Amino acid sequence: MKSVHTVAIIEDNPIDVFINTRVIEQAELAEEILPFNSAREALNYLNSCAELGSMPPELIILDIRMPDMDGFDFLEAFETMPETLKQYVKIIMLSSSLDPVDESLALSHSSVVAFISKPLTRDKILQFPI
Amino acid sequence: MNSATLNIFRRKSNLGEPIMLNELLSDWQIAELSFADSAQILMGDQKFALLFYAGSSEELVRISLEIHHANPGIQIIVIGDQVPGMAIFHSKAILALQTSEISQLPDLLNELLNSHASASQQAALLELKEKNTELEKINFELDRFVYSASHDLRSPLTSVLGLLYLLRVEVKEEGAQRYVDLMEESILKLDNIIRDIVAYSRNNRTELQIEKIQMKDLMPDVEAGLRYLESPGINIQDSVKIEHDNEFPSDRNRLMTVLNNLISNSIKYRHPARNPEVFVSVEMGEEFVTLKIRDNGIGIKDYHLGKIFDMFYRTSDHSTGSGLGLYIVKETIKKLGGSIDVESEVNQGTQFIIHLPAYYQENL
Repeated sequence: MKSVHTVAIIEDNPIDVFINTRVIEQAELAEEILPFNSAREALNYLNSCAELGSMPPELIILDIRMPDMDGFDFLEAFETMPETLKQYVKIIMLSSSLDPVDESLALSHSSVVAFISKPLTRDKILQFPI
Repeated sequence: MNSATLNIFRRKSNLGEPIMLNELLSDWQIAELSFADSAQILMGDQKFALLFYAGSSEELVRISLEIHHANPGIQIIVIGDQVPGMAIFHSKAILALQTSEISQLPDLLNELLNSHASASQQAALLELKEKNTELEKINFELDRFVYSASHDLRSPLTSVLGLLYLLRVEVKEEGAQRYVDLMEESILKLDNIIRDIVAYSRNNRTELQIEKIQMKDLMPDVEAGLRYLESPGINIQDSVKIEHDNEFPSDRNRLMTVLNNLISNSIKYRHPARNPEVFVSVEMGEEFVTLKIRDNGIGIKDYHLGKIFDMFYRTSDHSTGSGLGLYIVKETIKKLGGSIDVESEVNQGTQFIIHLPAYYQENL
């Protein structure tokens, strides 16, 4: 039994989607991996989970810099979702940013459990309790 | 002083009675006093007052102001028994005083300096404030630019690092591993140059953020940042030892920049025959905090020692970096109000000694 059933990856760069997917597969962290190439797409999915009462991904790997809606916009929208959904979801933020503000801002959101510098590796993802 | 003399000279020709300029000047008792804000004060006696006495009060004000405007740093004080239009001069650049009032001089000097500050500097202050607002805006935009640009430069690098990581895990051929190592090393070198530039730019633009710091609290982050230097037998956590710790005030981010650079050098330029060791100590003094970072590395030759803090200076024999690291260290310490020295012995090791202020004003 893997520790997480579903991991969602929100990432606009297809190469990084590939890397994150492979790392999670190799770490045998989840049964299912759901890639979303925009925050909006992921948000729509979560909304449909809330409406249908289905189980949301327990873990979201979230990129920060994305066109249209960035990682922080996603977090703000996520905070407004029903508690019944939010309680199942943990978010790890992943970025190439060197801006210390990004890290502190990310960690100020209660649903964000970690801020990881790219690239994602097995050790980096496994050091957080999920 | 020049234009004061010129004005006096011109004035002389307008006076009814002949006064020799030289005689006049030699008679003058002129003193220049320095005050806290470095304003200069020109004091003249009775004769100085007499010189202006011939004209009207308005004329005296006009000429005095002319002198003052030509030398904005000079305040003029006239002391005498028959100084006309006393009230008019108790403002702007001129102060006229009866000899009998001489005991009031210190108070009046202060008043003069203050009123001068509030009158003629108010406009300058306003302009300064506008400039400052503009600068803050530029600074903010530059800050955004640096982080955006560095992020965009680093994104492809982190992607390649991620792919190399996967390649290492998935491809087990001996030869391939060696190529992966070398590619990774090259990418990390480039990444470090970007980090250096961001740290340098950040140090120049941001205000100090002083908080209480202990070395032992910084070390986990330093070690995490330098993990890429680890290889079989080289473990950062085991290598770095805090000999003496103390709580001291500093700027966390800047101190991290300094420690990252110095400790990474200690690891990179380790002696091939022994395990790298880095000893860090903090000693509190009355005025300064002394940080010592000592290693058992290859050391630095004497003729390099004087230049290692120069921008882009690289010792040709071993250097692998951009030549920015120690320059950034020096600049960062300068910003912290401190200084750095180095002593080294080839084949024995190197010690950096950093003096930082033991306290900072709160509104830094």
